[in-house]
Amino acid sequence: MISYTRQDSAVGGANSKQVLVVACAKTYFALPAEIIRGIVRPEEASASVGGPCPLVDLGARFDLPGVSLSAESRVLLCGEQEIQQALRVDVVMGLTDVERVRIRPLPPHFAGPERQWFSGMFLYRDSVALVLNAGWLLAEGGGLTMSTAPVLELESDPAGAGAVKRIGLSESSRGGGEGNALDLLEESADGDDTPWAQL
Amino acid sequence: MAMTHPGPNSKAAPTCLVVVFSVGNRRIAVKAEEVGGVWPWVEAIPIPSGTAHIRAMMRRGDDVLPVFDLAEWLHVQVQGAAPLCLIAKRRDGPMAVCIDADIPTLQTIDASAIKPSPNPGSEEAGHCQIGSEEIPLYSLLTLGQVTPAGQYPNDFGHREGAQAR
Repeated sequence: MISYTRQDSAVGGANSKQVLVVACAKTYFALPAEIIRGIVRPEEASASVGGPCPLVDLGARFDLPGVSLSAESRVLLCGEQEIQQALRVDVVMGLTDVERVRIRPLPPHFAGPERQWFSGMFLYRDSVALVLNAGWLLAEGGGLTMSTAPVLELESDPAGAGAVKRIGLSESSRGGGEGNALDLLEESADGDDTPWAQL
Repeated sequence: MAMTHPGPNSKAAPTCLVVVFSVGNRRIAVKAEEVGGVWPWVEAIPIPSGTAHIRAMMRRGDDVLPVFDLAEWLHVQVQGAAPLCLIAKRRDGPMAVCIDADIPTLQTIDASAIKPSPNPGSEEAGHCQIGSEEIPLYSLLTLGQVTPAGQYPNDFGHREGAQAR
């Protein structure tokens, strides 16, 4: 069994929050790592869910400019126990531990539903990453989008499910990762209980 | 920022320092004390938002400022190849506002040249006479905020049809 772990494990513990940073168009989102059940290529998404699951384009869900599918596009399989949602993102940047003191609330000027969508933000590269509120994300489901984001129902493919190859975060390629401890991942032989990190 | 000094014959009448800038070629005056600075505009970060006219942020070092889309609010388009960023000191914190590339000017005007708005509490504090030009004077302290009644303050009807989502 191959698992992927972070090279830099100096940061961690109760004072930090582990998140997966992804990009949709020019906006970075950070998803709590504990709700990520898997990361697959779009064409593999249907085979990787054990039952019907809404596939939502995360950028479209938030009315962000659309980006066509590319080799970097990925589908995040999210849920607490089972896969509840599949979110298509443009790029998976990588996994990181963010010190909680670095996570700041949205400026008070943002007074709409976005305060429910995002639990905070932190500085990320030359931009910011918005921390998605996991409770909201999973509770809303794919059909309850803020607008008319396209929802594609995935059908289970039991025959192919076992053949799905989960994708390691080290395949993240945007930006080269300079000055960033997020996507420094390596294969590790030791066990890791992060479910999506296993093949 | 260019500054215009009062003439040598000016009296010691109360004066007011205003910044005059333009958005979509529409000239606007604001009190200088409500301006936090003027920078070159840098690309804003799109932020999913249901807040009217605030759907981006701008990062400058470790500072992250919400961006208020004044041009959208006024139903105009920012002019110039190199727009500028005006920092508005709104009451709940500074905001970045994209303005035309024309360099804002700092003007000292007689307080008596300001005609107050007939609508107290409005973002439009009034008009000010600068030379032969009458320019709307806006308050950046409450820019884009709705009134307790849920209505936008008076802005000469520039935003007909605009409403919070």
